Amino acid sequence: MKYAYFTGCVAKGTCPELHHSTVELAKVLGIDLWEMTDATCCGAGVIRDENPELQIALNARTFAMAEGAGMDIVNICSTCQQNLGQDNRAMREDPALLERTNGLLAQSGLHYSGKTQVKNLLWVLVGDYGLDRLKEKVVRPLTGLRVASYYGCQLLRPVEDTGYDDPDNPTSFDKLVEALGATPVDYAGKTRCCGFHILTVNEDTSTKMAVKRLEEAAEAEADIMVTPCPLCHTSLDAYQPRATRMQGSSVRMPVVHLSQLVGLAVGLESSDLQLNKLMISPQAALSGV
Amino acid sequence: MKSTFLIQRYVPEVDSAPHVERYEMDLWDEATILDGLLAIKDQRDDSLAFRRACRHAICGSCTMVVNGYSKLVCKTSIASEVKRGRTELRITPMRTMRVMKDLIVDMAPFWKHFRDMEPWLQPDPKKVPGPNEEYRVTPEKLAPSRKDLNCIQCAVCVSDCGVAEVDSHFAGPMALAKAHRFVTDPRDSKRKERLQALVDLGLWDCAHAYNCMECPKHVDPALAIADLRRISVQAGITNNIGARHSAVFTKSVGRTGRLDESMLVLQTVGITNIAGQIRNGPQGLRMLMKGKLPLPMVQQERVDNPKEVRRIYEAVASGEER
Repeated sequence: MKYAYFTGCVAKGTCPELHHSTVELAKVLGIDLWEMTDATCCGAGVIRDENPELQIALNARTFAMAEGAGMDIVNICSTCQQNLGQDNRAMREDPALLERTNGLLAQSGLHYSGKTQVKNLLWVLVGDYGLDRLKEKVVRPLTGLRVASYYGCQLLRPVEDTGYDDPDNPTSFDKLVEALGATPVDYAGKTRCCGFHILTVNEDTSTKMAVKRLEEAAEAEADIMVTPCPLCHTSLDAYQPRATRMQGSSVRMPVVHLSQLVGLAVGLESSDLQLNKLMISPQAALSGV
Repeated sequence: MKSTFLIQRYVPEVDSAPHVERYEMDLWDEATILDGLLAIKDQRDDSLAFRRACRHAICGSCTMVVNGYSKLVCKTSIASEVKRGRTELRITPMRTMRVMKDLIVDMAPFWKHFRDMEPWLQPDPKKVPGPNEEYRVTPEKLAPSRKDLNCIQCAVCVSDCGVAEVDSHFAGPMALAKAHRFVTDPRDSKRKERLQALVDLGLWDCAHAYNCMECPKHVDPALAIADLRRISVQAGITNNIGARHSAVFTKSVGRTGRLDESMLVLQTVGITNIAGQIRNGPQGLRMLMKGKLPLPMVQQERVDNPKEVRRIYEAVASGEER
């Protein structure tokens, strides 16, 4: 199994533990990752707000590089998934747009024909790798750990661009949690927004959203939350002390990355996974496993 | 088909808190959730309160939350929920609005956001034709607002919006899509004024969650909001934190191919905004201590060929000039 690995910006910036743990996990699982060091930011919908054609051109460049290498793209961020997915579909459905965009790439010697698939690591693990195979790799079952899978919003929508799970009743993440030996927890906010995208623009509203998600998971008696996205992680973990203080909440909830949770179950050590970089230490929650 | 309805009941004047009542129903295979509610009201408990009128997704009255997601219940079959793997139908009132009785909410705040958009055409009086003539517009010119025109104000989008849930000031997806409908209408003369007003009504507060994209009438408010932002920036309305965030972000990626997150926060808040920077200080320090804050510019990731990225920026810009 070989993928063009799209790190996105945040896993190489404010969430370095995500990139690190993903690479370590891939080694254990035998997944080959070709890191796309020349791929740009996905635009995050922010470049689209300024100039939709520019965002599409940047992402077409990324797709063309993966297509040239004969690989599909794996990403580790819901915003990357949503934006790459949307722009990919836009070009597939509009041949004139694809042609115009290819015109912009020609000078770089690149061409995109529309074949590249874009998958978040969650779907690579559940769909391509397979949960039965993953179970065989589990050497440290997370027995007794109550895990709130945080699908978040952008991983699942628009459904035409993602299409790997039902946005109104997703199950893939919970099935994966179960395969690791842990207990999935059902809670109200699992597909609702963490507020990250307005964190800089409207911090009060953004932190209210994050705190609500944390409280919903705590109310369902989760020991820990897990995210497939470093932006959700930033809102829920890196900003947790600030957000709870701002909103007068006493909730304290450790939040790990998907790659870290799976990594633990397949035997990676906390130093391989850089658990020390988490703002809220998961040590107490993980003491039983 | 046998189905279980778990309905939230609440009469604020009588009950101290909402409670759930369970109804086991046996309905025909094609029954909608609204059919189920009508049967409950008819056969089990005529005090059950909910709104409904047309029964075919035209009036927009019967929005409620079904198993956590807002739906027009006249358009949602029980079978579709069963197919999703739901064994029970948990029905609660819309989010973001105060419950008046059972599944009926007070929609006054929703209509206030609607009215704030001045949802009527305001043409230039000099261009309006006489009383015996139509003010014509071609379908092509109205294409950008075509989807907005489908809106029936059912509030499915607002009830599912994560921002509206915690921020009553935010205009919400329905009202913003309505604003888009008039901003993109070539006959309207108040475009700039409308765009200017939108900055304070929450244009930049949408968090791109896309919950509003499952609109029963396919209005797709999130795309309308993204388009409004683009139009707003193009119209030169850039002296606000949202537009600044977007401009700094786009510029940063143009420089190195990747986003300089530290710089994004510094510049969006404003380098000279000392109070704002001091306010962010503790968070920056906390992240720095955890090794989660790369120094702006210095430790910034770059793609292998940033020159190629800059070339694409220039090519897109020059294409637009042409």
